[in-house]
Amino acid sequence: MSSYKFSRRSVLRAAGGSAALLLPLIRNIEARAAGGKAPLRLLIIHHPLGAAPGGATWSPQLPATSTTFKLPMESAPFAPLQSQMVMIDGLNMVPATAAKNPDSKNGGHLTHEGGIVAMMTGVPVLGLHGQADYCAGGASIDQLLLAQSPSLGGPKTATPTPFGHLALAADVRSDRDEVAPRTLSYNAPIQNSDISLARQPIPPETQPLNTFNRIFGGALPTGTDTSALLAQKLSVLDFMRGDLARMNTLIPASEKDRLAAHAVAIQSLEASLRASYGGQTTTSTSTCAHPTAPPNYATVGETGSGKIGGISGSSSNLSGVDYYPAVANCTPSAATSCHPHQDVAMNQLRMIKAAFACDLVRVATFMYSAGTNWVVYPSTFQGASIPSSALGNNGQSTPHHPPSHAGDAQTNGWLNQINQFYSTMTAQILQEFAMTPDVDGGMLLDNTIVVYCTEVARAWDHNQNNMPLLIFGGKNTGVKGGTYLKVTGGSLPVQDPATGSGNRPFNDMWLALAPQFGVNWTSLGNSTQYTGPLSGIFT
Amino acid sequence: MAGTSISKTRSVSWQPLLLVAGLSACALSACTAAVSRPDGNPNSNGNANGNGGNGNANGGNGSIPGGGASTSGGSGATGNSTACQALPTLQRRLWRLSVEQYQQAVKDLLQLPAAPVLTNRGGEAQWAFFSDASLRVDDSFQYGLYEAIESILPTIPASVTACQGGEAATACATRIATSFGAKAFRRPLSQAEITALVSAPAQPASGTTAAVSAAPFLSAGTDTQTGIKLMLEAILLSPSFVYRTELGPSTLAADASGNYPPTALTPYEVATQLGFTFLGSTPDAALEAAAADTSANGLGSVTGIQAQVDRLLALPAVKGNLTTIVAGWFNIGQLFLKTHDTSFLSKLSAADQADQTGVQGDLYTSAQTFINDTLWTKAGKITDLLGSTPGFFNSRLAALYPEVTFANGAPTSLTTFVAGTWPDSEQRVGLLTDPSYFWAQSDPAANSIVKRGKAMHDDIICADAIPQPPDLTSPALAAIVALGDSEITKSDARLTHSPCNGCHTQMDPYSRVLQHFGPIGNYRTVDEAGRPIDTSVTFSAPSPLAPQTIADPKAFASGLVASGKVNDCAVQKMSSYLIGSMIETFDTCEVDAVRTQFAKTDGSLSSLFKTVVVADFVRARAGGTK
Repeated sequence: MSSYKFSRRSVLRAAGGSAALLLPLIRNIEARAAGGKAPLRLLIIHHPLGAAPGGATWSPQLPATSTTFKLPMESAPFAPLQSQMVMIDGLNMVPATAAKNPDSKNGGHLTHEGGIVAMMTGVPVLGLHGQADYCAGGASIDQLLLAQSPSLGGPKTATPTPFGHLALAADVRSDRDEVAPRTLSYNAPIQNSDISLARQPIPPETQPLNTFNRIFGGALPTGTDTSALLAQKLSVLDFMRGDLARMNTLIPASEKDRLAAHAVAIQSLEASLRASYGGQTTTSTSTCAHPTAPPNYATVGETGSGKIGGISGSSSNLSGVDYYPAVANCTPSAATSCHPHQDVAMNQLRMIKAAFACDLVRVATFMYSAGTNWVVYPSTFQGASIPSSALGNNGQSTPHHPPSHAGDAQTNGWLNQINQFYSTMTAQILQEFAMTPDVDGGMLLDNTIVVYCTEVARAWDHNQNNMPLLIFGGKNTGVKGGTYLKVTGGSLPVQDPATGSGNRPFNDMWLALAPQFGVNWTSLGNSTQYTGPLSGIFT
Repeated sequence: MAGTSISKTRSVSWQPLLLVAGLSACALSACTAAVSRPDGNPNSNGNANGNGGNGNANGGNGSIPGGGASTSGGSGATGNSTACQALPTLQRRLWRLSVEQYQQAVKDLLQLPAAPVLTNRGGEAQWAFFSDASLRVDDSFQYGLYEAIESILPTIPASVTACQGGEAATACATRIATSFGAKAFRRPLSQAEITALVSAPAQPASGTTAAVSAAPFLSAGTDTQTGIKLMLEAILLSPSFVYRTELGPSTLAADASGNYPPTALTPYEVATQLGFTFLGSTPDAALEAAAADTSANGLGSVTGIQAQVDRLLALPAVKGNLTTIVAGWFNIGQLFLKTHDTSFLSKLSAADQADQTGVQGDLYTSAQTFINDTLWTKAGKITDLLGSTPGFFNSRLAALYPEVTFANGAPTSLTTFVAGTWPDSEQRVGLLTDPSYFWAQSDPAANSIVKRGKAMHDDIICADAIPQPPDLTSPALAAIVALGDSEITKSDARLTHSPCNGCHTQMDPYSRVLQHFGPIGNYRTVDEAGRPIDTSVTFSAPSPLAPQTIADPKAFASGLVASGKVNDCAVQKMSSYLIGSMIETFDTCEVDAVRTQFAKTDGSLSSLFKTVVVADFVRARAGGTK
């Protein structure tokens, strides 16, 4: 016999999916037909360890805002995108700790761990767990905007996107497996006396193939009756939801958010199933081009692929991929750069690009690595060599983070090249965004605001003044491209405090960005963490 | 000790110091004073998030039957009763199965030859001591669960899904839903749940886009077997399977102010606790039956729990699982994440040097064999893990450590592990001198004195947490960090300069006495700088070995055993494992009480688990707010 559900779904399937999940597609079709507006997207990209030795190799260090400037070596790869970029110079990271949980380190000021949490949440941390694991005291900016913006397709909007958001990474190995340095996205904390349980991190996905399968659907055997399969699998989801509802009646308040997130995950699974079986997103169009399925990347432990010197370090139970090729005698091709870390990163970023183009999500975060980066690099990278004293006995390679505090010119030169490498990858993907058609007839970058940020201003001493920060966006984003924005008039010190002040809190950027998505915040964090929206970024 | 609270780690029990400069570390001089942890409550912070609110729902104490909450003595060096701190009662909670538990439970339930593989760990670290209770099901992890179950659906044996002769489809599905569902959900299914699976419309979940469904699995236009497999898939993807529930009775009611009273695990939740602790999987049939038994033999009584634990401890699968837990206590699994400089592996083939996974697997199996031999075959004490010989070697390990001799012939294959004897001159004894331990606790090309020392400080004697290190980039500390040209001379600098010596005197000595063992556990007489190694170490308070000067590993191991701290630490670690929350303060009243009881036993791992599982605190839960 046939059920009501299947009958209804058959109807929906004929139209391409359920009403809620159909809307993005319909909206895209309608937009194309009408030449209407494309949705505005938000992409936050984190690169690790700041700049080295500081501003001089990252920004032109001009005394005032300018539209005529030349990018130094670390940011030089962005030159082709300069007209769609604002380089901000003069924002300081201002971590803080919730008043009732003071700790001796002021919310992780001058640490990678505290920097990432402060950067992404903008609010005081709950406190310190373990050695340097600062516990996020609020939801991350991407999640707040997703929840509050009328246009970002959040789950509570009238037209939610199928997947809501993407939280991806290329690598998450971190000192002591701490959560803070390897997490960008958080849900709001829950009530729990243990602050490590109260925070609500959203672990990023690190395997591009998993991302691909979830978002675009895996391959199906030839002859598969996708209609029947979809109906069956949706019934599985119905039971899961029923079970979740039952459990919701039994749990204490402290567990409510956990199950709320679980409900969202089931909803996301439904979107995945529709992608796999429903034909909703499995057909590429002129503006919704699916990426090819990436390979499954083999991962290694904290000490990489066997070429590390005698670097001491903090243990990790996580695994990832290194810069080194996975196989000997690798030949670069369209499918591989022969550097797994690069390939994973670009594949992940291309998933985001495709998901944006297909309107599967409008919000995404991506991190190349944890702030305490354990990706292994050669001891000589892009022509710069790290001192052998930093490498121990072997002298061939080292994870990125452990030697970064040395502060000598040679080590900083090596770090500069790695940061330039991240700039190069980011510039490449953003140029691909700039060449990817969008539903309004323009290009994807025309309708995407990209925040390119890091957790410390410079690696060697963890200085967090004059944070390296770039905002990208094309013609419909309001980004004042081609601008070097010198922050002045603030009360915070500049990178070398002895040379003066005038800087402002990092959160002032978020306060300026939020209105672009229809969200107006009058404050963010405690009174030390913001002064007001930073003008000059957006028109 | 003045630790102010227990707190939970991110799954692992081992958190080595940050080696900021990548070469060395030093920590605050506050180590000689009281150590407290800054963990606290989430606060209202007045930010744009609108987050906040206090959530301290702790309260109440557990106690050991016949023991009382506070005890003294009984286990060597245990702290006195007046100083102990109450262990905060765990909140009522959901606890996501670990990746390994999920995989094993699916394998067992479906009688599969191999467990499905989850490609997404949902934020859980590999080789964690136990599954972090804070983990949730996010989008990626949910999809990973789905993919894993999809992958094994075609392989489900017919015996699991087959209908009996003459059995109608609905009756067949009802029977399977009832029995399989109860095993998977670790409780009887309600009639509504069975109906939802088999014969009546499921209730739509509020706020979702899902439609009302009717007889979903058997009426989907598919054959009965496919429908039943869909039913099993739904069960294995449902929250009731994915989470262990520790909520107490479903009849628990909140008072007028919205607060639930303190409660305790139900018999079914106790069965789940025992199942995942002892079997690493869902409760077996006997546990299910005991959960349903409302007599004194059931899991609602301590007597019933004891009976089940006695039964479980005789099962080979349980011994194997507990061996894995012990290996986790010693952080042996971390060796899989450590790749060592190939210069240490010159006795092996180029292929083994390039891909060390084979050697890592050998070492892990060797350690497991040792633990199994010590604790189960020889029915030894926990402390025998530090005092037992021999080691176990296959052909590859025998080649890697050629000084080992074999009374009955050297191993000739990779799959057979043979007992071997280390030369007396190396003074090896027990796990702390086993190559697997050193492989896991060293850097690629050098010993890490800090890493090894802190691992022993934290995990073998369970001393309270070392404070965080200061900023080592400050000129004064950077100058200390720069001193020395080898692990030993750098350690010398830490031990002789303030403020580093305040904490490193509590860590480095444990490692210094073992400096004859290199990064892969290779015996050496000179360090990496070519200097002769002096392992003589004088321990000072508050080390349990103080005041002694110890120079060799055997005296070191016997000293640790004699101090009583190894047993005390075992109690603390296994208590933590059972409740899924790392107890970081040594002197808690509840754990002290278990120590006292354990001290009256034969000192075996079985006795330890028999003692800890009946402690009230492992089942007590704070009510929380509605």
